[in-house]
Amino acid sequence: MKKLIMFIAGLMLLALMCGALFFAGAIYDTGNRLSVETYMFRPNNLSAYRIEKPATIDELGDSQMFQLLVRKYITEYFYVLPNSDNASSRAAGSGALAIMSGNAAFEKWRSGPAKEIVELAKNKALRTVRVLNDAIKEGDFWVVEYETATWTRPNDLTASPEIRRGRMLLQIAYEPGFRAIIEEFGGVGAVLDNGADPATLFNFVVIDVFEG
Amino acid sequence: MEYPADFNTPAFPAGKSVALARAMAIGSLVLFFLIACMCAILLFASKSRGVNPYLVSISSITGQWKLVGNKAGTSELNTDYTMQEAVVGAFAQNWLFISDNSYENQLLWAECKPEECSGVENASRGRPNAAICCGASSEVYENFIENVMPDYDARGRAGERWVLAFDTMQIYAVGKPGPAGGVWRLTAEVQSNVSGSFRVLAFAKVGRMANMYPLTNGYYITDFNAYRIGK
Repeated sequence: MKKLIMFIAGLMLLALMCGALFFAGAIYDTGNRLSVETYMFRPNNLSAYRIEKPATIDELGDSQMFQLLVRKYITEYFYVLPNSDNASSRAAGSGALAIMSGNAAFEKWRSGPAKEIVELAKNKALRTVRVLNDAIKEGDFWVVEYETATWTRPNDLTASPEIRRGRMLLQIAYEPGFRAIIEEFGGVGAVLDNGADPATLFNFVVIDVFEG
Repeated sequence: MEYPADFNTPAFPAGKSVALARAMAIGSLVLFFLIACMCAILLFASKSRGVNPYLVSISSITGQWKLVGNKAGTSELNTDYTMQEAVVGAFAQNWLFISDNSYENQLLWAECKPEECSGVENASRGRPNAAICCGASSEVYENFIENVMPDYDARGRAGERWVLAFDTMQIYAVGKPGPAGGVWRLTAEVQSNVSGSFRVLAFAKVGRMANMYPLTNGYYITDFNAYRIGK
């Protein structure tokens, strides 16, 4: 009888061991399940992303910063991308130009150039802007000369752009440094991380604009 | 004391405890000094200001200001971003390609059926067949056939070849592309055996249809416009 009990106990122990082996195997299988981690090779020539010697704000100086902001403003005033969403959102007041402009300047832009920009964008035109000289102070205004190149026919690689030159008079309020309101949004880092245009952080406002 | 038998008689019986007390006092002093130094360092660290530069790049073509990096930033890009970039790059290479062999052009510009576009073997061997049709929406393909292909066909028949120089291709996001797509800007040089090299600026809009375009994770071109910007 004792031997029988020992035999049955041994048998149960064997069954338990087999069960344990089965579960261990299942756990091993689950643990060893493979997942695919993708590595993608970029077709992009990234040489333009290489930064040589960064210019600090001290090296740039306030006057140089001011000239860069004027160039930025002129670019924002005229550029066109073949993208209707971009033009519509700018005209609706969500672009950098709206932040860098006072009410009078922005309304003037919205009632004039913005309409043309929306129309050009709808027709898939492209317009690039080049500022020809540093802004020069004449009385209350800063005078800038610019050149725009407009391609009205997309995908026509024989077409030359229409070149137009012009002159703008800007009444500008500029204080070196960042806008005070940025602190309310968590500081410069937080605002930039949220995708703000870096130029909109500066204390630069165009009060009024005249073309001529 | 059993002098002279026991020579180990202390001259000053309290010397050991006095020495111990002095050692502990010096130890405590050093410890306090270190604590004071730590406090000073802590105060300096909390009051000092670190420089966290934000690098801004200004595009020479569009004049756009863009944040290209900061100290806390990471250079890793997610799969959606990279895949869209790759789709734009591959599509531009096919759009800006003309062969002097008409048959090669016909294959590239051919109309497609959705099931023909999902073949892995088709895409992995050189320039895939019907690449324009398979990589873009029907509107973009129709625009290509109606407005672009006739000129390209005439050039090909006249023996002209166009190839986009791969190493000159630079692709930038316009705005912030998301998992559903985005707008991209591409500059590259196209090499022609007739008119030499010229620079091209192109804007592409990428959309996503998850159940289609399996080779590109659902990404495809919904708008493509190219302009010649100079030599």
